Amino acid sequence: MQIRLQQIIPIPLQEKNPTEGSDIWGKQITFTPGERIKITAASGRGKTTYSHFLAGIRKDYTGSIFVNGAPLSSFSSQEMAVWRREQLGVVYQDLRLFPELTIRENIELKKYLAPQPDESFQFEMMAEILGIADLLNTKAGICSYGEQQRAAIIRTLSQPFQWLLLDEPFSHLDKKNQQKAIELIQKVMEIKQAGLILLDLEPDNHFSYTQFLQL
Amino acid sequence: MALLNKLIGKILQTDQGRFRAWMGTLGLGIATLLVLAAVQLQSNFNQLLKGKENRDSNAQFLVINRQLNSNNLNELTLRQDELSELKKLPQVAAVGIVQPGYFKASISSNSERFPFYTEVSFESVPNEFLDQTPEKWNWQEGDEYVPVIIPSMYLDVYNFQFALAQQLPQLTPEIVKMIYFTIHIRSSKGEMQLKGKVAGFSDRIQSLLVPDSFMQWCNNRFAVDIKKQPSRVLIKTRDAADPELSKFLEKNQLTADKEKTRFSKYRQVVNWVAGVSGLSGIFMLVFALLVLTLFIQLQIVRKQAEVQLLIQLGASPGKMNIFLFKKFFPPHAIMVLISFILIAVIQWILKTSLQRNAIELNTFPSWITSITAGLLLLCIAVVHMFTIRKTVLEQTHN
Repeated sequence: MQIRLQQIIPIPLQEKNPTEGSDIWGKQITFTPGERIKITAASGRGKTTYSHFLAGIRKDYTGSIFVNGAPLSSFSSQEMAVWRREQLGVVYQDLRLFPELTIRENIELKKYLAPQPDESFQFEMMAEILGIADLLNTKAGICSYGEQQRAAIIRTLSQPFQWLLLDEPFSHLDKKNQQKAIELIQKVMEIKQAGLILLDLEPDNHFSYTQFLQL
Repeated sequence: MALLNKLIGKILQTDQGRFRAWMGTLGLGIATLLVLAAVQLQSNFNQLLKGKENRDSNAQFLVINRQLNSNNLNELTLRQDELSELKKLPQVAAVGIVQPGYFKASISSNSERFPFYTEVSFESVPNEFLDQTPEKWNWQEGDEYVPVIIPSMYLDVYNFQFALAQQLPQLTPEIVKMIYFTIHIRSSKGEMQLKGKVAGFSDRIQSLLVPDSFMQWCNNRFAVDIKKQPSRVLIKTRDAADPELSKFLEKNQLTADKEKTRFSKYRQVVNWVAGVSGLSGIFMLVFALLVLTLFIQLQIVRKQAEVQLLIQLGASPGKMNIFLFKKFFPPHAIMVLISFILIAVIQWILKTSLQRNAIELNTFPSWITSITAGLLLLCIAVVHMFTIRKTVLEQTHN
């Protein structure tokens, strides 16, 4: 599944001359299936805005985003639902868990939104790896931010996807948990043969990236 | 799927606005009850008037003539425009002229054992207006006798009053039909005598009736001054109790059998009650639907963030619509069902209590009431679907 960005400029950032020094804003760029792309940007350059554009949550931009040649902005609500639950897995910076549901329920909800849930991974096993197995029946709202971040990663890995979009996914994890999360993501991506787009403040070598881009 | 629905239910669950929801649901129940009661009331009244069990065929035929008062004593005839208007009335299926005899007539007995003599007048009506057509109901010059139809009431008066008072024998209809009598006709143009015989009895027309052909022959031969316009007509009506028919008669100073049209007064009251009940029901229904629509919108908007997040995670708006429809619609559908069951219970009670007075009603609500309940249910479902779809769509685009 190919993603092509064509002269994308966020309308709210237009006055800040976002194209200057950017590999993405206002440029034409293509992500081929299976690629691992690292996008680095300082605060305020629009990382979260960019992830929302790709997820179809926001449409306040000029230019176009094409998915397999079809403009994302023309997706019907049903096509958009399929894009979000079966083709693009996102770990949002603000995590977006339901605080009144338990960690287990948050993961199950996302998993069973797909008509054919991905049963190849046991989320309990992933929770064990990331050290939150004993929190599965705890309401997300009372978990720490680091625990919620790990839960959000597991929730995304439990759904079917061809692209994984991570927005500052390890911001609240210590080195040890960060490494465990990277290894788990790496493993799942290899099995699913999925592509990766990782947005973060600083450059890193967590994955064997095929492109390094500046936002 | 059950797990998914349970989780979505948990996310969207709210205890706020419960009171308003219950009030809206109760209002909807009362509204549907009023609408269904109005429809069932009309159905019951129609059944009482037109149903086979309660039908009185005489009530469908009315003899109409001018209402006499001191100002119109010489204006007995019905005008052509009145007749045309009468024919055009939707309640009137047919109009037949009642032809009077413009000559003097009397009948007398041929039997010395059973003597009688009385002055009479004859009328004729088109055959299709007779309640029963006798075997011989035609006449032509040279026939042995003239068949006559007499009101059944005459025989009752004879048997139960006259015969008792005069110590005469009672007569059955069959015996009466065997008796020949003499008809005397006279006018300034001449006179003649003919043989006559009772050919049948009528409950519908309170006149001595002879065949149309005989009446025309007599009028041609003996009448001195034939009026072109009739003074009495017979109408076949689809509903003698229709208030519109009574209004027409009153407006044109015409009169008909009061006994047969008195139901129009009841009908007016029933129409009024059903109308008020139906209108109040419709007003309440619109109001209740408005309250419920606002309630649904409020519930969804109150959970705006959750609905948006569900959609961002990949819940399809279609699935969300179905889920929310299943959440909001069943209590309201149950309310319509309860209203219908209540109407059925009331109908059963009415049937049982009126049966003691020999008034027959259906045990169950009429098919039209059932269809109305179905339509109300459909209307409520459509309003729910439309409101949910619109509100979820707004959330999707926010």
